[in-house]
Amino acid sequence: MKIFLTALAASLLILGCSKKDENSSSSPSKSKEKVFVMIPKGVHPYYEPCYEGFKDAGAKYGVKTEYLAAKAFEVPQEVEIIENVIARHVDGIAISALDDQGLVPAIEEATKAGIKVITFDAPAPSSKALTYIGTMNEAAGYSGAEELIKIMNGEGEVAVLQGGLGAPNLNDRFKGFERCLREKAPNIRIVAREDEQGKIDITVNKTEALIQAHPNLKAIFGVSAEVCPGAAAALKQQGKEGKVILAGFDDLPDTLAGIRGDVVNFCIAQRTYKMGWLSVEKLLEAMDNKPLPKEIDTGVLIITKANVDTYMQEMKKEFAK
Amino acid sequence: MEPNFFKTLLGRRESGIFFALIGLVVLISCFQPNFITPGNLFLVSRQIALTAIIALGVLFVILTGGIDLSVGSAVGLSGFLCGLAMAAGLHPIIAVFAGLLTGAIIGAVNGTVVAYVGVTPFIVTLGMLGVARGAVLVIKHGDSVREISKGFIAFGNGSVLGISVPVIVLALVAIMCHLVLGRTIFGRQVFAIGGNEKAAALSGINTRQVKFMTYVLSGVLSAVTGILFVARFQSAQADSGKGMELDAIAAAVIGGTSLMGGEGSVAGVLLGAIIMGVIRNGLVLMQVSSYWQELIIGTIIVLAAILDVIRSRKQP
Repeated sequence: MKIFLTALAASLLILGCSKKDENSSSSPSKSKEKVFVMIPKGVHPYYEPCYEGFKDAGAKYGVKTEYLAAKAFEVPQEVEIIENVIARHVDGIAISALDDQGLVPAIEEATKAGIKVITFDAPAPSSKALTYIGTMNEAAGYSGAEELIKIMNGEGEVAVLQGGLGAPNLNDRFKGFERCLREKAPNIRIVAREDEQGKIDITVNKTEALIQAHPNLKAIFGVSAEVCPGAAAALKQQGKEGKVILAGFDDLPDTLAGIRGDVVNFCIAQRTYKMGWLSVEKLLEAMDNKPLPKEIDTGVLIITKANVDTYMQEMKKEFAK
Repeated sequence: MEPNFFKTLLGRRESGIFFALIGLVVLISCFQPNFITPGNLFLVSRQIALTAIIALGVLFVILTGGIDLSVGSAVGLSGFLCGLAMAAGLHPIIAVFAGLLTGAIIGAVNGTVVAYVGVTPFIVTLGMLGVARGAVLVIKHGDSVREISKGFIAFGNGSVLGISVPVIVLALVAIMCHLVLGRTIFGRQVFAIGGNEKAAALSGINTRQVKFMTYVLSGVLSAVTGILFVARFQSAQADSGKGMELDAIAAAVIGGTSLMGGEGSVAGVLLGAIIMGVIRNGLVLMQVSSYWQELIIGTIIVLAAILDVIRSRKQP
């Protein structure tokens, strides 16, 4: 036993030394490697292309990138992650802010520690974050309505489903959506706006109820990601797929499957890969003390059956130079 | 059995909530005749059944004076593993067993820690709420499982004589629960523990084993809903069942179940679940602004509970 332990200790020692050797041989030759960390709101497949863009840009510019996601979408957890990262003295942080006010102290602390902080996907305008890279939600809602008007031939009843009536980004999307209909298609009527609380079972229940309450319903529009998968399941069960137009925000795999299967007419994808890529570029600019604009609109993509299988590669090709 | 069932249905504890439900149905139908069409009743009954199945499992736990906060996550994890099994090419029947087994294991872990280790059920099941939901996120990073057998989807969304499969499943589960509670030694032991656990133990009841079994039952019934959800969503969704623990507990309490244990019935839980489902559906049909819906639901829940207390007080 003793011999075994000694051997173990010895081998660890050797391992430790060799590791150190590696470090000492590589680090003096180059300046210290920059480390950027991406902190999303929480674990969610939506952020995967964001991080891909972040990672790919990091590889291009020689920056080490990391991804730290909280399990739950909760402000204290996000703050905790930011604090842990500050303690490690990284160079840059890109945050998708769960909350504006709640993140102000943590971002201030990071800034004081000399770390460059930007927000992507969801802004924190009250904080000291240097810029916001993401979708301008009102403009995105407007774009979605423009596409819907075409499919609805400018007339009929539409119902809107939204996940939580208190979320500013969703309310902005709805505002843009409503404004576009008012300006461009006065014959389209929003007959209902229902809260599905961000839950798929409630989305299915409410879609069923909407179809009962409005027999002439022509279209359903979702301003949050879970609407298309949930409403598609409900339409299919009722044999209404293709008869009721379904469109909405975000390119979840279930939504894309719905587009391929002719249940979902189109979805509005945020340019997530671009958000991640630009995050690295803007953090680098910030480290060179270049001024950054307050907001950078990444725009949206309308995804239909025509481009559902190619849009991701096209979005990436934009940057693969 | 038949007369006994109806006697319980309109027994003292449940009659208040029953009349509240009738009033609610009449009110909604006046505003929106679409409510009582067969098509809508088919849909509403299915929505209610999925919650009621879980609530019946929770009833057993609450009757012993415990609580199970993990049912929503158990719905999620058991449905997810059932979906993964089908995606792996296993026969749907095996996948269903995998889902039920998952629910049983979740319940067994809860039951062991509560009954044999002696940790308070609130904490144990709150922890499990996180563990089971976290496990789903770990497996596929929040993505869903979409490779579900067509036959299974058709079965889960099917109907017999105009009654949907989840409602039939609920009916079977409810009859079984009613018989177990009213006609078996186990059922009497559950009530005895909720009434006075020490007295129950002194009279020779293996209280630990009985409590353990109630958590297993709660886990298995959550799995039943979890599996039916896979057919309903035509995929196993990572956030399936989220927040359902509150609906299930509310359904039980509205139906006259005492959170202190020892008091409650299958019929009461069914009425509680029906009243919640009817309110939710009715508000959308009546085109009530979604800003008001949560407020109205909360108010009606409290009013129903008040009505129930008043009625049960009046009767000697």
